[in-house]
Amino acid sequence: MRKIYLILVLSIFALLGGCAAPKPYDYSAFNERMPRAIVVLPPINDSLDVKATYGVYATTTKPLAEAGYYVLPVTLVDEAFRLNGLQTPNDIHALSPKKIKEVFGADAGLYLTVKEYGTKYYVVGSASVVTVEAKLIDLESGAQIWDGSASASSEEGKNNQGGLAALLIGALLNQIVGTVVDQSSNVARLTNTRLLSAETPNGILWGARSPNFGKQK
Amino acid sequence: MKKILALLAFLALQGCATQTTLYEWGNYESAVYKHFNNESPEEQIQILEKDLTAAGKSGKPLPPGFYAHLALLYGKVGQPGKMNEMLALEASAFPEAVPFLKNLRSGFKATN
Repeated sequence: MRKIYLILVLSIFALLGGCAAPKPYDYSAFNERMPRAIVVLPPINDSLDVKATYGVYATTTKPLAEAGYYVLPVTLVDEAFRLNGLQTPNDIHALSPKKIKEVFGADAGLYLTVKEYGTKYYVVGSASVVTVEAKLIDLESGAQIWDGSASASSEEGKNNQGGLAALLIGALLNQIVGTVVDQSSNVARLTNTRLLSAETPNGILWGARSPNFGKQK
Repeated sequence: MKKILALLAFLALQGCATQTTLYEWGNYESAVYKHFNNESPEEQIQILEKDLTAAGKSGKPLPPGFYAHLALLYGKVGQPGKMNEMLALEASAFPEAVPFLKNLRSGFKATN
């Protein structure tokens, strides 16, 4: 009986360990400049897939809004840059933070870089992997108030059971599904949820529109 | 013993559970994705208008950018009246949007 209790206690620690923050992040600048409105700029694409910028950009709003921030409407922000002759994310990221604040009226700008996007093929399978790095910049001062990175894969949580034959069939199915729909955009949504939620360890703080505002890390 | 186990497992999982959402997201994310992939605005307008009608029932507000995106779509199909109506809804739901929407008026017109 004692042994069982010991195992129980240990397993609870292991479960809680999964939720714990790896190491504390310095939130002093974030707290000091606490933004209300965030403008997400079209992400720079360092991956080989041309779909990366908009595949990632499309699902950035939800985690930030649910964390309690007003997120400037991404499709109109994108349109506004185009109307002003700025076509590439690199050109946009090079603008002065003051200028971006002037146009969008946002307190902070989210600068994203897509490091990986797309399907990788292996001998017996394929995986869509999306990795994104983020910097949150206070647009008034130009200072960085938070940074982070996250990754997700379409193969997470899948286990290979049933021997080689099942493995080969699975690989075939995965590739067909992976090419018919843009599987990477779904993976990008998971990456964004990890990267931009206030619930993530070392993630952004809760914003003013959330009931959790002030419950900081 | 089993009861204790179940309770402990439940409590441990609760700690990681996500809270309910602040907003009624409907088809907003997929509409944004489709817009970026140059799909027809007419179809997205229909889908988002349905979300708009349904939103009242859920008791949750529509998310940041929902009305603004719908405004953009109405602009694309040459309906400036509906476009302005949606921009006004975004501004009243989210006052943080007002400076940007004012700036848009100078450089942003309904086009076919």
